[in-house]
Order: sequence, then structure tokens, then C-alpha cells
Amino acid sequence: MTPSSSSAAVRRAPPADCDPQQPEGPARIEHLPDAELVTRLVEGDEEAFGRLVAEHAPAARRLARLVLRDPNDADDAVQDGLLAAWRSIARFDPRRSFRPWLMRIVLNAARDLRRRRTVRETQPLGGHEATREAAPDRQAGRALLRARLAEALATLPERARVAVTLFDAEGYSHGEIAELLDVPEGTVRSDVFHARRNLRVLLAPFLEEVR
Amino acid sequence: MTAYDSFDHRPDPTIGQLLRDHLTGGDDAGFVARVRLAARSTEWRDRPASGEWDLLARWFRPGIAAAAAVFVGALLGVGAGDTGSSTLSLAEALGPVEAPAELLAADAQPDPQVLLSPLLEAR
Repeated sequence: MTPSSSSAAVRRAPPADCDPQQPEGPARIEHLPDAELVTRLVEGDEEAFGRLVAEHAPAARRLARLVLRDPNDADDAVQDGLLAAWRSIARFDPRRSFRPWLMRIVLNAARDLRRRRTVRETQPLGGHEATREAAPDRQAGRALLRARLAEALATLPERARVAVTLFDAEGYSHGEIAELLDVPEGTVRSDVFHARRNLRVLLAPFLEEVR
Repeated sequence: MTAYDSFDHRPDPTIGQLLRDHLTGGDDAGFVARVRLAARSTEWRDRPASGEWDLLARWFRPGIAAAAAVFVGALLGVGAGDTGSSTLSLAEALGPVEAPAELLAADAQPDPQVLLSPLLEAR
């Protein structure tokens, strides 16, 4: 860290006798919204960057795995994307939502990494569980379900995979997904609809047990 | 199948949970530490900061360059002045000249052309 960023952090550190109600300092940063964290990051606050990474990394990793399937490649892509977002944070429009902006960068990083990687065979996520014997207990049933889910996801176009995952697993709105994927909102609705229908058909024997 | 159909505008919790479980890699804390370390070790030092000293540092190099340019320009100007044979020296320029008599007699402000004519004639 440079002296400048260090001094910036020091400037923001609360004095020992500060009012505990004041939302300042490292102890309070976890409660700050994305917009405030972004403002602090633009000013050079490394803690704000760490907090944004902690907040969004889990979803970003899931998104990258939809594209790359290999967990290690996915993590590499997410790291590339997070650092790219950090470098270009000054260009982020604070009037817009941070989450779709960040995820779009991560998605592009994952696609870019996929292009750069030499073609190699990767075991689909959860695929190793398909080789297990289908035991009668519930745990084995769920393992088999996950294997089937990996196969089902593989049948979907990437955009539909991303759309249905962001909508059903991450809680994104259709509008946010449309912004992230740079497609009309109606296209997202259509993608979610078709992806759900395919997933339900392929997973039908298992879903009744899960629900 | 359930209350959730493919047209439902609400997220399907069952599908969502399956997808989350399937795609979550674990050790998020370790991954966050990895990214922060990467930022700190390879990127943070290159990132422009907005502290006062950084602001001064950004001005420092252009300031030095500007001062150097002015200095070089001044040297070139003095060098050019030395080589000119038709220019007047300071003593010559300030030397005694005959002021036109009309300057002393006139009530009105003198004409600059008349005032400077001795200097021009001396050249």
C-alpha cells in the first residue's frame, strides 16, 4: 500500500474517544451501502475495496462457474474481474446500481479467460458425484441431483444459464439482469422461462423429493 | 409440479437453492483474502490516489519540466542577444541624446514617435 492510501485510511480512522454512533472507521464499514463504499474506494480506501469484495465475491464466483465450470479458472476470472473493476472504479456512474456493473465485469472476465484458455477437458461441477452409487439415503439422492443439475445446466445456452441463476439463485431483477447481459428485459424473461422449463423437465424425478 | 411455474415472476426458491448449492465453491473468506492480497501487492501501489502529497507529486514533474523549459528558453534568448551585431548596448541606448526642442516647448503630451526618434536614428 502506498503512503497515500495509508494516510487516507489513517485520516478516516476514528479517534479513540469518537462517538460510537458515528458510522465511521473500519468497525463501521461493514454496514455501509455499496454507494458509500464505492465513494470511499474512489478516494483510495483499501478497506472499502475489501468490504466490496467480501460482499460480492460469493455471487461473482457462482457466476464465473456458470461460464467456466472449472472452479480454479472461475476463481482466476473473478479475481481478474474484481481487480479490473477496482482499477476502473473512477468510471463507475454512482447513479447506477453497483452490483450489475461489477457482475458484468466479472462475466466479461470469465468469457475472456475462456477464450484465452486452451481447450481442455474439465470435469463439470459436481460431475464427480455422478460416479457414486445411488444410495437410498437422502444425501446420496441430493448428490445425484447435483450431478443431474450439472448436466442440465450444460444443456442450456450460457445466457440462459446466467439469467436463470441470477434470477432464482441471486435474487436479481429482470431489469438488473438485462443491464448486466446488455439485452432487452423481455429477452431475459424469455431466457428465464425457457431455462426453468428445461431444468424442471430434466430434474423432475428429483425435484419432488427436494420440495 | 408446485406453486411455481415457468411463467412465475418470482424467484423459484427450490431451483435457486439447488443452483446456489451447486455453484458455491466454499472458502469465500480465503478467496477474499487472496484478492485483497493481489490488490495490495501488485495493484494498489500503481493506483492514482487523491491525497495531498500525491497531488503535489503529480504537479512536481510537470513543474520541473516547465521550469527547465523556461530556463532553456532564457539561455537561448541571451545567446541570441549576444550574437546580434545591430543591437544597441544599454549604455548606448541610455546615452545623451538631443531631445527635440518642441518636446520641451509643447503643452500637450508628446508624440511617442517623436520621443523615440533619437533612439531609432542612433541605430
